[in-house]
Amino acid sequence: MNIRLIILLSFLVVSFLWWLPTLDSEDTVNSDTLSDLIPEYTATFLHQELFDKDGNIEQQVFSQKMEHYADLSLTHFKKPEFIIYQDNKPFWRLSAKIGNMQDGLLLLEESVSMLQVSDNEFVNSITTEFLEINLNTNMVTTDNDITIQGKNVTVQGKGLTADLELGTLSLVNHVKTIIKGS
Amino acid sequence: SEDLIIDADNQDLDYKNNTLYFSGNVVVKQGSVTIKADELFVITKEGNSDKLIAKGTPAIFSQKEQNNQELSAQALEITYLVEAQVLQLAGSAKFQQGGSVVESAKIEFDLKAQRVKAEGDESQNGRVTTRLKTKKINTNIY
Repeated sequence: MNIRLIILLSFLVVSFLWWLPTLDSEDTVNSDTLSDLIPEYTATFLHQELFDKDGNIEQQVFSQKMEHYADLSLTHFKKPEFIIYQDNKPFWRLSAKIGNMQDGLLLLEESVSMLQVSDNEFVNSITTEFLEINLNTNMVTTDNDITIQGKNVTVQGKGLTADLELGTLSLVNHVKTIIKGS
Repeated sequence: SEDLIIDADNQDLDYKNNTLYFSGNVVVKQGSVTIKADELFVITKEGNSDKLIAKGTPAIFSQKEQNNQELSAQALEITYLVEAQVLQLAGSAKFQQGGSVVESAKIEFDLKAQRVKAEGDESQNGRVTTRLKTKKINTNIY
């Protein structure tokens, strides 16, 4: 009976000693990710203007709060507004509750809206809950439900691919389009 | 004119040229008018729908008239001028109203004036076929 007890006890001691080091490493892992979450710098009520190499304005950014994380090369925005210029004129105003920018990709989440600020009446706004914008190619994509509203046109669908350079919007899961009578 | 309601699998909108393109199970409804097609182009003018071009094998147009009769038309390509209320059928065109049938290469129908104009071409050796439904005359012989 004694021998069995001794074996059990020694097994427990060995496994306890084995487990001890893992306790420390977990802490170190946590401490690494924590440092990532501390932003390099933050800004409140940000207003930023970006110009191309010829000095033409390309983009304006407004944001209630901005945090930049160098290690992740990620910039986080609270209530951001992006104004995208085309032919030196403001064309689209994008806004949302949350924005994350990483490697030229802008991800907008929650109450996302794209408003036309030019005089184009055919399409005034695009609303959804998530948009991904490639700021280098001006391509916009989402898999979410989407509503496109124009002066006389209303389009509903799920998923969108938009080429802001060409001015085309493509819905693969189109649901309904209503064109108001004159 | 009444609202146009369009259902389709896919849609492309071009806001620089103000056009819409639909493809896959396209169904257009406008009041009593229904159009079914594989593809549909919508050209707008000042934001209003000006011209619809429906393509199919065939594309089908139907309209329920006040007297509950149905007018139907089919062709490989149907152009519907919304404001003018004119229908242009091209390619194996067939027009049917109240039992009368017109078949030709091209047919134009003025919905307001209720007038049909048909045009043949070489494919049907230039002929237009019209079948008019006549009233049956009962001749009883005693």
